[in-house]
Amino acid sequence: MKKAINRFFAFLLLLSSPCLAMAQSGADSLMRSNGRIYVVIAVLLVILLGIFLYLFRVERKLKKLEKEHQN
Amino acid sequence: MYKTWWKILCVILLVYALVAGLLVKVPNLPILGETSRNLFYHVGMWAAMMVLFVCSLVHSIRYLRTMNLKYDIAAKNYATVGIFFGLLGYATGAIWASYTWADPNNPAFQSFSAVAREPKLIGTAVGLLIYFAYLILRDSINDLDKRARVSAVYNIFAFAMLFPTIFIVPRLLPSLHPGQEGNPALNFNDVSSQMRMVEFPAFIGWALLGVWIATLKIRINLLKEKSLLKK
Repeated sequence: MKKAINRFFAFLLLLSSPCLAMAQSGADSLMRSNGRIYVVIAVLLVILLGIFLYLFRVERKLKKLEKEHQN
Repeated sequence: MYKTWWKILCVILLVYALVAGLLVKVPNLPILGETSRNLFYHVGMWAAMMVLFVCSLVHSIRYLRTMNLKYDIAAKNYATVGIFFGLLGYATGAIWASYTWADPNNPAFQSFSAVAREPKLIGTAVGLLIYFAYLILRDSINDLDKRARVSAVYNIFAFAMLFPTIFIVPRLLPSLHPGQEGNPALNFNDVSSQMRMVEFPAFIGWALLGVWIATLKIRINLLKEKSLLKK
């Protein structure tokens, strides 16, 4: 049950991320400078961090399994 | 394999490679233009592939010295992830080449016939196919110890074959690929010093990412084959 609630909030956070990004946009903000290259960087960072988070999660699950097998 | 510090190092290096790689000032060369930033990503794939194949070789030799099946599992998984990174290098290279080598004034098939004759492409294809054969050879032998022994020996030959196919032969033939006279990207004369500040951290980061994925796979396999390894 707790897991489901956590997932629900993570999903909400994901859905609200466009609002978070738009909240800080001005006409000449950092994100709009330099041909808007920072937008690309943000997208790539999200992908990269997503992959890392996934790898760390697999790692955690594996650690649990390894502990169980030791006993 | 179980430590965390180098995984965090990998995260830091790759985040740095991505942000600095897109923001660093690159020399505006003809044809290449901004695409020289691909150096951090496309060449990084090959760097990771080489590191993984070296790891695979080391574990094959360790298997032959000790006859411990866990080294065989490690060698196999390092090779698999190495092939994966090689394929990524190939795919990214194809995208890069189609906007730098292919002549936009020629019909597509004429450009293709020039690019497909590239010794670098054929060489790496042969090198990767030899590694595919390693995986097929493994799965075609049912006896565990025999499989491990034969494939460990094959793996050493496969690694030896990498040198003529990707380092020596492409350099003897005319090629569009940069770095004809030496090691592409590692040569100190053809990479600007600012780019080198990003290049080497990026290579190390990609290599660490490859090793990380490989160790996860190895640990899964070790758990699966636990009953076998106990004997």
